[in-house]
Amino acid sequence: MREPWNYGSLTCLIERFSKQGRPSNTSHSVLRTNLLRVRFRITCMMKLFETTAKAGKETSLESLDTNSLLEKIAEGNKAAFSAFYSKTSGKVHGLVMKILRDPAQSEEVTQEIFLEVWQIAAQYTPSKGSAVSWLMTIAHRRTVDRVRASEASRQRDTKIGIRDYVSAYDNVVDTVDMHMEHEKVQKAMNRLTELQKQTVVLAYYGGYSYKEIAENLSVPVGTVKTRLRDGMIRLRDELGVVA
Amino acid sequence: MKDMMNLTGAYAVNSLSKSEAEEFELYLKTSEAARNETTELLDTAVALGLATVPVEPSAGLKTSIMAQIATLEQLPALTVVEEPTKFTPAEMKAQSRWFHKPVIMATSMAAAAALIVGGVAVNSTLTDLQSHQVQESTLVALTQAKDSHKTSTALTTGGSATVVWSHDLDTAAVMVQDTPALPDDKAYALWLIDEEGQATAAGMLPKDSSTWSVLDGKLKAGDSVGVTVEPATGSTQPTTEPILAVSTA
Repeated sequence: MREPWNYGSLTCLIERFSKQGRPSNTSHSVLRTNLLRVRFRITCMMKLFETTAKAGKETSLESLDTNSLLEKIAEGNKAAFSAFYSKTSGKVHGLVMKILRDPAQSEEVTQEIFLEVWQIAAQYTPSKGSAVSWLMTIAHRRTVDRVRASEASRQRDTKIGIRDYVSAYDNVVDTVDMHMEHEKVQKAMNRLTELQKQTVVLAYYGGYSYKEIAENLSVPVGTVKTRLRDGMIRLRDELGVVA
Repeated sequence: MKDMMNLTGAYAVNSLSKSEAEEFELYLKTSEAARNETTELLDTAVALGLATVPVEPSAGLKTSIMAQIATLEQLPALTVVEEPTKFTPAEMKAQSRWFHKPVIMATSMAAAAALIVGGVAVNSTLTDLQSHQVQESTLVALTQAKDSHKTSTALTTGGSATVVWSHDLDTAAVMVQDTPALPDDKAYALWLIDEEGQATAAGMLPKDSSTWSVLDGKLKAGDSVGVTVEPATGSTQPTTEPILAVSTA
């Protein structure tokens, strides 16, 4: 930080008074003391200003909510993007991992999602809902896109695959440390019929299309569509989601 | 359309195929009830997403992402076509989602393949049809050209059209939205009209109207881009009054 222009001249003045110091001349000595005090105050203020400016720069972005960060990202602010990533990458990656399970593929998709966020941040407007909702919607769609693209190689078309998935999910639910959102959703989930729950879980957390679900559970496609709709509506009501 | 309404849940959890999802989005434009319900179910799906146990990706991932955004171009905000009707706040929220699809980026490596013009995303994913790829790369170039221009106009017959062009590339592209369906034997024809008023056929719009069409032929200085309704087999000269004429001068 540059010294204020008067800081140097103040020091000169103080030194002049010290050198010329006439012990008998009290007015000089008082003046010198006062000048010393002034210089001290200025120094303190400068230090204080420097520290708060630094701290402000570091923490102001961190303290912004994700909506505001996203708006800054739209202006090309990379520091805001970095802060946004730090706040949300765990949520996104958790969902991606849940659906894809393969860690390497999941990291690829998480990367794609955040690059997309950077690219299309300008499309976000708070009237559309929260930044996190926007992000999670993109994340889910992207991840399912990946599931579908790699479907041929995944050979996910066995009944065993789907059944395994259902039982694996139930185990996860039972054993994992539940965080608050999870608990709330879990409660809501338990209000669904077993069939609705199974269908919603397979579609959302499994990334299965309703056609795959219908084929593998040997139920008509119309039934799966209805279960998804009724199940999601039930969840909406239980969670109190309003547009 | 009871059957379409039954798809709200499947759509919200991305359980529809891509083409079904697109069809459903077209349906959403026609149904306020479906829009509202779908918006709510999408928010419900977000709650499901947030209920998963967070997993921090590796530290290297952030480094990689930060390095990539340093050179990754950001896309502009979507231009919103003013809707004359009054909407409730819930409707506005639904509205603002439905009339603009988010971009699906091809892959991080081919980020430039994604673009947005006039409120519609042009996708270039691995699953897209090969035949669309040439048009798409032209569109990418078109929107990124230094002299890229874009304009949206209401059509006299209803709906709207967006034209994007670049004289550097001698190319223009058109997309129409919400236009009235034509009888099977009719189609929208594209024209390049020179300063003398001479029209040159520049292709036909596909029946599925919400996609971009790159005009055939070279766009010359002073040309206008026109659209007329013609027999589906095409015409060598316009046989009806243009429903759109945009000067690129």
